[in-house]
Amino acid sequence: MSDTIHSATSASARLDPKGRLVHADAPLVRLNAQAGGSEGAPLAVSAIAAIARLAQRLGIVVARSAVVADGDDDAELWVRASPDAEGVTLEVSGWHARDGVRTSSRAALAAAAPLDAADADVEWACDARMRITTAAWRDAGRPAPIGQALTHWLAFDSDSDGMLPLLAAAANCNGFERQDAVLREDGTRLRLSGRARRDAAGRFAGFVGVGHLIDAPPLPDAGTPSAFTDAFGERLERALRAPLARIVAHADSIGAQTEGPLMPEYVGYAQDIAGAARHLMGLVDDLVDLQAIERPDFAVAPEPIDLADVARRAAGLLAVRAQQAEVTIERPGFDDMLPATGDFRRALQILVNLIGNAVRYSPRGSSVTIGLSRDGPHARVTIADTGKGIAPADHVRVFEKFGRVDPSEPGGTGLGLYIARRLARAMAGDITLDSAAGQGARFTLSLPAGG
Amino acid sequence: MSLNPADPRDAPVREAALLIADAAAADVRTRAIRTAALRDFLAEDCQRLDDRTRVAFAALLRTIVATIGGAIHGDALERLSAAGNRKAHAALNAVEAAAICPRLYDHLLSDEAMAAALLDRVVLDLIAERLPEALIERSESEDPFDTADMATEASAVALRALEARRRGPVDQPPYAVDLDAETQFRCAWGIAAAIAVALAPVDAAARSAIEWALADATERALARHDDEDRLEAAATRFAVMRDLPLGRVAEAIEIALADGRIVLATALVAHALALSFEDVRAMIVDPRDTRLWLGLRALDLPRDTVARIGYALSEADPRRDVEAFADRIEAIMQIDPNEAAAALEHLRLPAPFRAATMAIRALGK
Repeated sequence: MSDTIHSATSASARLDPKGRLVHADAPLVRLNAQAGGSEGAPLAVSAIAAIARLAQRLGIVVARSAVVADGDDDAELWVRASPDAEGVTLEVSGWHARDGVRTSSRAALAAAAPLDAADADVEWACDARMRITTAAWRDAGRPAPIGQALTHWLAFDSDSDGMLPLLAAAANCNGFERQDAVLREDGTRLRLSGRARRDAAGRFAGFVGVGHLIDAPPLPDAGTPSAFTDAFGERLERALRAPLARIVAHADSIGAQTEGPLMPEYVGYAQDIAGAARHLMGLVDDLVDLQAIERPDFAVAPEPIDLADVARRAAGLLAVRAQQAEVTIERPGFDDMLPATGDFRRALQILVNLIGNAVRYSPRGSSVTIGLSRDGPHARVTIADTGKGIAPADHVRVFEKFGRVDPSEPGGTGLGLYIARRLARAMAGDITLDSAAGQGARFTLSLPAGG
Repeated sequence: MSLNPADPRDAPVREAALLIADAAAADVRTRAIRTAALRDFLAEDCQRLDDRTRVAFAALLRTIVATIGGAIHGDALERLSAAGNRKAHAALNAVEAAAICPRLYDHLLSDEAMAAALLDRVVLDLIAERLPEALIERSESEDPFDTADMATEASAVALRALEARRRGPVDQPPYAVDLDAETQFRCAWGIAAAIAVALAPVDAAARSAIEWALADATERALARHDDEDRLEAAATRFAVMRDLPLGRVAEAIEIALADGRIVLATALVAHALALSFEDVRAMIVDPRDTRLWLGLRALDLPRDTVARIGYALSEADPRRDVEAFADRIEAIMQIDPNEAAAALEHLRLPAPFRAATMAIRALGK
């Protein structure tokens, strides 16, 4: 990273009515000098100068993002220009090289919102006085306490450090996650996340966020689709798969340089695009599954299956991926059998997910073992890896929707284990986890034993 | 020779028949496509829908068909089932929403006023999504929307709930289509008729039973419609009940825009000007409509407020040019408030009267 980039720096400057730089803090002086400007001359950083001019012409505070050249990199800065009779005061912040985008519009902020916002149980917002301005439940039957104080609606839990993340965020005017709370009216537990809003003076202007019910059963669909509308709505896979497939196809052909040679960085970009699109397609697959399994009438058809056979097939499907990761999958022997009752396709889906995770988290040169056992009425398949393991405190989270122990860990959508457990339970089985940090992980699929 | 779909030897014959039928319709179809393409070529850029608006408008129309149509279709099916009319039930059950849409959209959108209102609603909602957040400094003094009156407070709470409902995508629960009574009426009957027209050939008795079932279902659907359960109606109601003095209207409009509550801001302006919500909305969604500035001048709003409104709309609507607005703001502020009010006086005439006047004038002498 360029040594001209600063993190979390803000700087101010003053321009005269003709846009000439009167004085500025060091980071802005440096930025201006790089653009060929100096004190006493018109501000040379054109993107910031344009914001200052607009504020001056309109006579109001203008706050917007501006992309400027900072050394060898681009920086996306947040610029607040306040005009007065003697010129314009600039406050510039967010000196991150193209990350941590600060943006002014709701749509852009919504687009940058975490994935789990799309599946929230409640969307909420409050004003600067912590009065609720929005409380939109996915289940329309719940009351919306508009106008009430947030603390009348919810009782907040302290976190493991004894802090209230929401209050700390209000004090610092930033976002928060995992603020656990209890609805006072009925004791329902939920987990809130939110981001702070600021007014033009940069002061706290309330929160906007989402909430997820903790350990609540899934809510029923809003009405069963009729035959009239069943084939009608733009179903997720039709809406997204075709365009994503096109993106992958085009990006692959660009990356393969089928139309002629390209500069290496463009080949890299094309591969990044294709990779991202493939990831999105994986997410579409998971979301389609989610849609299916969360319907109130979702059921799987139980039939006699051989879990040993299913496990061998799942391992076979992942053989290439395991080879690329230099991980060995120790499959059950060909003579092994483990009769069970379940849906073959869904059991295969679960084991592909569990074995795939094990391969992903296994160190190079290690093995993933598949163990078979019978324990009274249950048939069990245990997938064991020697990876970094999962701390007991995270055992619940890994099975939650979009639950990731480390969100920065690449790969995966955060839905696989949630879907796998739902499927297992729909087959009168379950998935359990035995693991500790640094001690690998053992995921066990249990299904009713066959005859 | 009979065409047996199961007999592979009939396949080329079947296809030939389809090709002949297709050729017969080709001339009409080609002409329609060419006309539409030429109209698009002649249209100015600002007259065309951008992709975002197109997608949102399509989602609204689709949801109208799915919700109203689904209710009417389902209700009619139940009636036929209760009457034991299996043949009619099967024929009606086979009709799918996707099949009726093309002709239905043509019919619904042929009503210019209704089409304009639906499109304006979509555009205003899209503008709301892009309004800048850090628009104003919040004053520590009283919020202009605070009130001690219980009825007005209840109206404010209801408004918030409807705003929250509108923020979700329209084609997901709770499907907030929010149609006014007249639009609901036209859509419901149009959908019922489109379903009836889309029926596969069926005997006269079954057809009659289906049509009566659809008609009864439509009347029941219309009887259930609550015109007040709409965001636009709630915003108008709150603006009327709150009835802010002129001195506080500027602050209220700015706070509403800063909070992304553009429907409320529109209602506040409309109430202050004694104009209809729809007319003020039309001024906001058309970036070339100068009547918006006349309206703000007629209210004698301070320069800062006019500047912030113009800036917010320019940030939120890519068709607006903020630099062009900055060039014009001095000229806007030169407009005399009384002259501005007089220029908008004709908007207080009833909308049907104005529409009919424009239509007759367009016919020429």
